[in-house]
Amino acid sequence: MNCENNKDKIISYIENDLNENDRRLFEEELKNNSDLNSEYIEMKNLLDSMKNLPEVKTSSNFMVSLNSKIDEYEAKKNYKWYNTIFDSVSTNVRLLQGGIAALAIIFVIFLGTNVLDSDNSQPLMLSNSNLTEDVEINLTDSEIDSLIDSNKEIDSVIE
Amino acid sequence: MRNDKYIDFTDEELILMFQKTEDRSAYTELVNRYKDKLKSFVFRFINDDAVAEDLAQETLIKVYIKKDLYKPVAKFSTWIYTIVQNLAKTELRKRKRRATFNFTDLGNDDMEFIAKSPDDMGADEEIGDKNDSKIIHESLQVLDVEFRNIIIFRDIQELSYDEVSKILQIPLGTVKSRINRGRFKLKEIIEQKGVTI
Repeated sequence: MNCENNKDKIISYIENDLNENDRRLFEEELKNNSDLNSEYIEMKNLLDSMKNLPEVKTSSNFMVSLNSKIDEYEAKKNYKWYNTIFDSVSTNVRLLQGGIAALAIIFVIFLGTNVLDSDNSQPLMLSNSNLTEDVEINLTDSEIDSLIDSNKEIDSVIE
Repeated sequence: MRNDKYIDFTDEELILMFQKTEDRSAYTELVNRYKDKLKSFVFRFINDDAVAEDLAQETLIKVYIKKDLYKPVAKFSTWIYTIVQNLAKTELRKRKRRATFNFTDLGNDDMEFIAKSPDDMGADEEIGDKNDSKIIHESLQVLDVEFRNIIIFRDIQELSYDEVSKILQIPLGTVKSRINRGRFKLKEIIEQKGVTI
C-alpha cells in the first residue's frame, strides 16, 4: 500500500466513508502497522483539535458599531431619496411655472384681442347696418354733374 | 438584544423575511447567528483581530445593503461565507503587496529586525507553553492560502464538502483532494515545530 493511498484511507476511515469490508481491512492494517496507526492517531487528534478550536468572539461594541453604520447608510439613502424627489419636484415646478406663464400670456393676448374687437364692433356694426339701410340723399342736378366730373377726373388720374 | 420570536426560523426564512418586509429584527437575528463565525473565519485566515472584526462587520453590512441579491436556490450560509471569503482574500492580497513594498524598501542591515514568522521559531522557543489551539492557529498561517481557507471552512467551521465546493466554486472532487493534502501539510508544519497535538 503506497503512502498517498494510506493518507486517503486514514481520512476516509476518520470520516466514516469506507464501506464495511474496506473498514474491516483497514482496522486489521492499523493493528499490524504501527507507523500507520500512529499516523492515524495524530491525524485524528489534529482534526478533533481543529473542531474544538474556540470561536473568536466579536467585541462588545460590535453590534453598536454595526447598527450605527447601518443607520448612517439609511440616512444617506433617505437623504438621496428625498433629494431625488425634491429635484424632480423642483424641475416639475419650474416646468409648471413656465406653462402657467405661457398660458397667462396666451390668455392676455386672447383677452386683449377680444377687448379690441369689442371696442371696434359697435361702430363697424353700425357702419355695416348703415350700408344695408336705404339712405335718402337729396342732390341738385348741378351737384350731381359736379360729382360726375370729379369721378371722371379721378378715373383719368388712375389711368 | 436578541428577539426570541425569530429563534425558530431558518437562516433562509429570515433573509427572505428581511427582503420582503425590511424587518430589521430578522436581520439582527442573522447577525447574531453569524457575527462570531465570520470573525473566526477571518481571524484564522488573516491572523489579525482588528481586521477580522472589521471584515465581519463589512460582510454583514453587505448582506444588509445587497439583501436582494440573495436567491433562495442557495443556502444563506453559502452566500455569506462567499462574501466574507472574497473580502478576506482581497485583504490578504493588499497585505502581500504592502509587505513586498516594505521588504524591498529595507536595506540589508534592516533584515535582521524583521519579525520571525511562526514557522521560523525554533522548537525550543516557548513552544512548550503553547496550547494546541495556538499551535494550530500559528501553523495555519504558514499553510498555503489555497489549503488554509478550505481547512478553515471544513475542519474548523465544519461546513459540508458540498458547501465548501459552492463557496470556493471548485469541483467537489478537487475540494476533497485539496482538503486531504492540506491536512497532511498542516500536520507536517506542526511536526516541524517539534510538537504533537
